[in-house]
Amino acid sequence: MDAERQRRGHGELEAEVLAALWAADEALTANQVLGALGSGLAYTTVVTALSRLHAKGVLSRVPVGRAYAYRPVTDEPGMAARRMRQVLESEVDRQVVLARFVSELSEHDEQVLRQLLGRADEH
Amino acid sequence: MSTDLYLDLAAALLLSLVAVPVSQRLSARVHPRRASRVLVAVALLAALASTGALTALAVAVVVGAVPLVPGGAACVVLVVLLGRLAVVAVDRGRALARCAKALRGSAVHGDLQVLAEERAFACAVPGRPGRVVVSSGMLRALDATGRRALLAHERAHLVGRHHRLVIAGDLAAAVNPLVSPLRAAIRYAVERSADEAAAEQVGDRRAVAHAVAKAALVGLGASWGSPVALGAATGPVPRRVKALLDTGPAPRAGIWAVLALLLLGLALALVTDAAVDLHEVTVQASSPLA
Repeated sequence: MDAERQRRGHGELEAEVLAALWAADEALTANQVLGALGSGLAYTTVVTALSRLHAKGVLSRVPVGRAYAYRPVTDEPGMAARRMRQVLESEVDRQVVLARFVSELSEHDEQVLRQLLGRADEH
Repeated sequence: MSTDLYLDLAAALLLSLVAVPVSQRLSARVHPRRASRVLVAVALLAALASTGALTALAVAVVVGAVPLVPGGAACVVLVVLLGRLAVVAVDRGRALARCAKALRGSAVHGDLQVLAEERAFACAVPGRPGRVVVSSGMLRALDATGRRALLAHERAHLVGRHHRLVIAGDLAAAVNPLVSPLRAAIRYAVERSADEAAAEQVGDRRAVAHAVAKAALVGLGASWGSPVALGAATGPVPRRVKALLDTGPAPRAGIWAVLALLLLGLALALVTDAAVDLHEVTVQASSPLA
């Protein structure tokens, strides 16, 4: 567990915690976040990350029983998202930000990918 | 002198033609991190060699050391190519500025910025500091390992300064269209490089392969920009997934590495040659008695 913690820096762990909270539909407690991260992290590590993110104003929290449930704070709803979408809709801009993890696929590519995913699942 | 200048130009063009397939073959046989650097080095040196030779010839025409016909064509071509260079440089600069502007004023948490948006997208925005921008839709589509892989992949782009490599390739191709095929090769190499970095960090190639495929498929509904030709040869994403799933021994680089080194040396010699030619032409022009 310690090795795992050392392998991920503070920032990386906080980014993962934040990403997990964004992926969730509701506010999550530290225990639920631990479950959502799905790897051998210590409970205290997750609590520390959540507290730090809350202190930075990135997360809001509500008491649930004896613990807190956290959710991401969304500021100026959708504004940055809309502007970024415009950027990504431009061919030149998309190339500069290397937005290729989400890449354009041909129909053939799609078929191949689904096959590869299916094969990966069988193993 | 005049024939020398034409021969240097011909050598630079021939070199560009040969260097493209050689560096492409080499890049498929070495670690993608190294591949991206080799490809950029080849593209830049080929561009320097051809532009150098062209400039020497054009200056020789201007100072009257080479007859206007057919030498004048070199001047025209040089002006056109430098114009292309300026257009690409301005385009890329503007694109970076637009990205920075789009994100201005919104909160960053460490290097991660999540945007509330159902459509799945993720990208690495260079700058100080660079940031990983991901939509909430993309995060929802992936599991915990997939999210780790995605963040590690985008972060690898920032840490490896992949934007610089991509832009360098674009600039090289602007002044030397013969190396244009290397632009796609560089893009592919930096994506593969980021995939490998993610695989190292997550410690599970199969999981990263899964995440790459998943992210591409959920991003499909987003359909940014113009669609790619349908039914074409297998595109870059399936190739990346296959490369991650493939655990066989890497093919040997051997002969291609030697050839690439030879070509890089030759390109360096041509660049030096062009510089010497340029110097001689200007010296001759400034001392008419010579």
